[in-house]
Amino acid sequence: MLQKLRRRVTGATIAMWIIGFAILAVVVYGMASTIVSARYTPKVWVDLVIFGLAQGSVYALIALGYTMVYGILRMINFAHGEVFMAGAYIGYFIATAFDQSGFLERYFILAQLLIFAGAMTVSATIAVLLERIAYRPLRRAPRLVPLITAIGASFFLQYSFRGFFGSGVKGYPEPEQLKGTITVLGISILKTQALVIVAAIVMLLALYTLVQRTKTGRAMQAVSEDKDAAALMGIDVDRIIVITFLVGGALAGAAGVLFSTLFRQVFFLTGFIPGLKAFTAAVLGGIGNVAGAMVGGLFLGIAESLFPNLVLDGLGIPAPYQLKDALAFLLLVLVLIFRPTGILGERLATKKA
Amino acid sequence: MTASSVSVPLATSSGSRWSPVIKIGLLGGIVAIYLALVGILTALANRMIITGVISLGQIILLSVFILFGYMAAQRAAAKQAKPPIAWCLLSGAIAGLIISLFLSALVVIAPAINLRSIFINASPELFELLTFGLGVPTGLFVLMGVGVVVGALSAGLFLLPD
Repeated sequence: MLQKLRRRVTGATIAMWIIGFAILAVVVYGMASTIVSARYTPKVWVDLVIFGLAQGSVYALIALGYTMVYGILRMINFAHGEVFMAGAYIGYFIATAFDQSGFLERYFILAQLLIFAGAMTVSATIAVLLERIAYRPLRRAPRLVPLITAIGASFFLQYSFRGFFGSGVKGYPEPEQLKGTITVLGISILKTQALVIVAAIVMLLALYTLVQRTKTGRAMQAVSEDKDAAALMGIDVDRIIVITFLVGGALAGAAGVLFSTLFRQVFFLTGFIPGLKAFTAAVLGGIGNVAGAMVGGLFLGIAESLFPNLVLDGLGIPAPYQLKDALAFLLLVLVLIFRPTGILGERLATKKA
Repeated sequence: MTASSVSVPLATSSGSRWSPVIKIGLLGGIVAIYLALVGILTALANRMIITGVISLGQIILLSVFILFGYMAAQRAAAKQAKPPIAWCLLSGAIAGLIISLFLSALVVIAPAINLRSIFINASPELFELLTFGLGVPTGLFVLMGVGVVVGALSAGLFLLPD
């Protein structure tokens, strides 16, 4: 038994444990310092959690697209962030037109539904076109080829939108109905954050219902398990792949509108960082796992919101909030090192190569 | 009756003949609109290839007609031992015409709906380039004529012997 243990536990494993414990110790020390110093009131923590939930909801919606495509094609669609950006732009143009005509404030709910519908339609269309033009011809190619194509498609979309709409930052309109706060269970929440969280929950539930309770969803699961066997069972694999991209694109479009509502700005690089963070969230939750993407997105959003103040401030690092992006990608590296399967998922490697 | 004595007629539906050509024309139209609105044509409009005659922007515009005219002829001649000359030339011309119709629609509609508030390159400079500086409607007829002629010529390129 000792020999077995010696074979399994190598020097590298021990080094990884030491590094892991060291990181954990630093994090715990930082958290303890912050809490003991009582620098922040409970209201501040609650505000940070709520903001993290809102931000995480957006990440979750984008991450679903990554995870669904990976689940079916075993491919990371790096252009998905730009599909999200397209949704943000379309949402901006529709919202601006409604705002200028007064429709946005007069018929707020209808206007919001139309904004979502427009953004989701365009984003879904772009996602389907991407699949048809850039990915389908490469389905039998080695894995690296569609990955590079996805990166190329991402840059193509980014700079096409820059060409179409300019490089300036566009300000998303804020209607009166979204100004101020509401109180839920004694907690004061910004109306924009409440809208983002509620809309995201509705869409996440709708997707979960689609995947778990419909024939199409079962077909998606079957194709994700084994494409060839699914084809032999009579499932139209191409159609299911198109539907996957359609649904992922639509969710990304909705996420674009929610992101614009939350942060009130849109420009051609809007999709880059959130896209990468959503990929991190998908990996964190377990790439290929729909529930994992939801959990990963919410976890990342809350971690990004809380950790700078909770950990870095306690370690005496100045301006900790500026490191939130670094924190998100550090989390990706740590997850890939210590728990490559993610919280709920399969290893991001060659499980079904 | 044996299998060898049964002759299978070729598919001669006129709808199926036009369909590939129209699809190529539509695709070419979308590409041309993309190049126009993304700003490539206007960005290169001041780079003269032959000073006072033709600019790089115009060359790129013409290359769309050439490429899709060639592709239309290719599709028209597909699966045929001897490409029908008249049909190939006509296909190239039709593809060129469809592309020029797309661009003409852009020139007419864009100022009417203030498309520039969304697409920053839907500018007077773009419309001047597309109409060869001749304005509306003369420039549009010239554009259509150029589309038809260049499309047919590039189809002729396809028909040249190897």
